[in-house]
Parts: sequence; structure tokens; C-alpha cells
Amino acid sequence: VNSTPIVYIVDDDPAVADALAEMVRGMQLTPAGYENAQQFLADYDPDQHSCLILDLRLPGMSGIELQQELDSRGHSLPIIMITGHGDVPSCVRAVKLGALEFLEKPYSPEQLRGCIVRALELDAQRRQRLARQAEIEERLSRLTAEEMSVAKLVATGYTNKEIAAKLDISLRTVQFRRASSMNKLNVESRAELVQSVLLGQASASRTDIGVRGGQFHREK
Amino acid sequence: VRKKAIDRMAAMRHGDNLRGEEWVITRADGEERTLLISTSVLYDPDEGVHVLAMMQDITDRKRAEEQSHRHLAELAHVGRLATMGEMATGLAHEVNQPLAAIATYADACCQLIQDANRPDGKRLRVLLDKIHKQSLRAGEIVRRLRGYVRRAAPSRVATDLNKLIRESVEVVFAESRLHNITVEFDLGNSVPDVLVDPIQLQQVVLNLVKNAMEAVAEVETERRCITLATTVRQNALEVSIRDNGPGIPEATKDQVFDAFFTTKPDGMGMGLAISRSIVEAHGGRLSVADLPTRGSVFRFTVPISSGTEPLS
Repeated sequence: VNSTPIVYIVDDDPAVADALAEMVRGMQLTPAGYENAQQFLADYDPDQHSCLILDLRLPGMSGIELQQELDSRGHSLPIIMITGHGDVPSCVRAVKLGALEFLEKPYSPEQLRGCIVRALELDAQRRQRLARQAEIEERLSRLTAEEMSVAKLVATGYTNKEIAAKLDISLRTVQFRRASSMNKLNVESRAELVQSVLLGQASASRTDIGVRGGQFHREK
Repeated sequence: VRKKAIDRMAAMRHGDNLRGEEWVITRADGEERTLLISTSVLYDPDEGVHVLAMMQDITDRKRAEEQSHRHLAELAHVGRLATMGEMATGLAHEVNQPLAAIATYADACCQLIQDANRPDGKRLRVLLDKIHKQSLRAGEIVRRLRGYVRRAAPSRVATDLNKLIRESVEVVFAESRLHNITVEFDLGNSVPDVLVDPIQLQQVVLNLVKNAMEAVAEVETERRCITLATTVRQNALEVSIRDNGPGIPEATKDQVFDAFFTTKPDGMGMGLAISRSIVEAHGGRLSVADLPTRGSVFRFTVPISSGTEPLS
């Protein structure tokens, strides 16, 4: 994973794309320009810390269609949408689909730079969250089925005694499984254990939504 | 005039006949009239020399012609303005592109000057050069449009139609690219210049291309295509604009050239009517036909040699 952020630019006008690239370079960032959505999709690396400046009106796949395509692939990089004319319905759709910002041409470059900085910050936060989640999921996967059932009941709020009764095991076994779970999850308190289990469950249910095609799932 | 007439008589003595020369005379009441004069010398062995002179007052006819040309020019101008109005969104987009590029390059320049301890003069120069190029691009778009909507007296000049066709298509280039329309050129190699009013002919081409673009908008995205071709046919140059749209329904085929006939919700129905008038004023013909495969083709001709008739 490359930590230097990339600003992707998709604009069918070579001069506009080049000017945006120059501006991005001036911000000490790395630009990557594409003439159309297909070219971008072929080159896009979801693991890359990045944001996207996207022209709404593009030949072939439009800006909105690209946004939907990225969404259906589960890539939620922050998008700054640029349009040549105040197309209100498209604007509403883009924002509903989670576009971070919608700028009308001629945009103010200063405003656009602000958007880029914000978009990259958001992307960094999102990546951090994802990394943390991935770590928790990885740790959760190390738990045995027995440890998992105890951890889940702890998260639900049961006491050790209640868990022992529920699972029909000895209190010692509950204490032992609870301690080994906390060890594997690298947590020190009950609160942390609960948080880990809940985060793991949240990310599991989120994947379900994604599979079912929840289009509006995008972080803002 | 008297002097001219005496000279004429002298010339006739040498068998120099006059065929349809226009003379402008001033009548006793001060009004100027245009006469069409033809003379011939007939020699009869028995009766000697006869002089036949024919004079025809063509003032009214000329005035009517001039007026109809003026009306056409007016109508054509209104038509061009209407076309511009219809294309306003696309044109605004086209002008906005270089402007957006300029503003962005300028911003990059400012960053360069502010941020660097020692501004990189070479890079600054490159950026300024790009700004210059984009401002020229914006200027060129404006120049083209101004030329197109100009209300100029109709004038006929020797024109390279191939070049005129390419320039006309540039006006709608952004629009065609956006709708994934491929514009192909099949322009003849040795096409002679023709005497036409370039603005009016550009209007005809633009009208036909715009119609073709609207027609192909009804077919699937991948294969929208318009082909512009020029061919020399005997004494005329033929320009054809073909599209792979759905074609024109048989029921409306006779009406498409009628004024105020339109199939578009916001159309005026003047485009093809004006186009036909312009082509006919140039001594040519404008027609439409179905293509055997799919779509339609509009063809118009411009005479190659007889375009010399002066217009007002």
C-alpha cells in the first residue's frame, strides 16, 4: 500500500485534465489523469490512498455511471464531481450517491483545492477505520467457536455465571475462555472486548448489505 | 449614355454585337432604370445593312430579385440566431472548458510563486505558455461563433467547400463527442472552389449536421455515425450528409422542407426550409433520400461554373 496520496482526474478535455494535474502537482500531490471512465477503472487501485475529481459529462460511461460502478464494486473513495452546466437532477443524484462535493464550471481553483484536501483527509480516516476493522476481524477469526460464543454473550451483557448456565459449562471454563478471547483480541477490559465483538458484527452485516446491493452505503 | 451609344454604334460597324448588356440610364424624371440591351447587325445583299436593337426595361425584375435575396439573407440570419439559441448549452460548455483550464493553470502558477523559496522559472514559463494556448482556444471559439451569427450582406466568394464543411462541424464538435457520435469525412480530393456565400452555406451544412445528430441520437450509443462527403458531378459539386438514424417516415417525407414543419418539441421548423432556399438561391438543389441500409441522406448541389451570377 502506497501512502503517498494520489488525486485521480477523469476529464475528457485534455487541457482541463492537464490543468488540474498541474494544480495538484502544485499542492505537492501526485495526479493521475484519464480521458474516460473505462481507462480510470482499468488503472484504479482500491488500496491506494486517493480521491477522485470527476467530470459529470463524459463520453461513454458518464460521471454518475462511474460513481455507481465504483459503488457496486465496493470502492468508496471520495469523489469531487465537476460539471459544465448546473444540471440540478444530476447534482442531486450525485450527492445522494455520496459525492463529497459538486462544483460547477467555472469553479474556483481555491475552492477545489480545499475540496481535495478534505477528500484526502476523509479517505485517510476511512482507511484507518478499515485497517482497524480488518485487524479486529483478523483477531476475531483466531477465536475458537467456543471462545466466540462466550465473547458474544459477554458483549450482550451477561455475567459469567449466567453464561455458564446458558452454555451449560462450568464457571471456570467461562473464565478461561473469556481470558483467552481477550488475549487473542489484544484487549484488556470488558468494554474493549465488547467493542471488538460489536465492530466485527457490524462489518459482517455491512458486507451483507453490500451483497444485497445497498447502493446508498457510502461513508461521508 | 449618349457617348456610350455612339461608341456602341461604332463598334457595331465592325460586326461587334452586343448580347444582353445591362445599362443604367437616368430618365427625364430623374429615376434610374436598368435596361438590358442586345444589338445585332443584319446584312441583306438586296436591302443593305439592318441594325436590330432590343431594349428591355428590367428594373422591376432586378428590384424584385434583390428584394428576395435580401429577404432570404434576413431569414437566414434569423435562422442562424435560432440555431445558436438551440445550441447555447453546448456552446457555453465549449467556452467554459478553456476558461476552466486557464483559471486552474493560473492557480498552479500562484502556488508556484508562493510556495517555492525560489520559484522555478522554467516551470512557470511552461504553465504561462499553456494559459496562452487556452486563451487562444477560447478566442477561436468566439471568433467562429461571431462569424456565424454576423449579419453580413450576402456576398459570393470562391470557397473551398471541404474546408467549410470541416469548420462547420467544429461548431458542434463538443456536442457530438458528448453523445458518442462519430463524424466521418469522405471529402473529394480535387474539389474545385465554388462561388458561394460562405456564411449561408455553413448554415446549410450546420443545419443538416444538427438534424443528423438528432436522428442518430435515437440509435444505440456504440454505432452513432454521421458521414459528410463531397463529390464532383458534371457541372456541380454534391455535398451529402448521411446518418444511421431511424430514417424519415414516409408520411412526412414530403413535408420536411416546408416552413414551420417540425418534429421537435421546441423546433421552429425553419432549418430545412431556409436551407433549401439558400441552396436554390445558389442555383443548386437540396433533397433527401433513404439509405438502403438504415438512416437517411441529405444531398445538396452547388453549380461549379454558373455560380458567377452576381448577387445584388
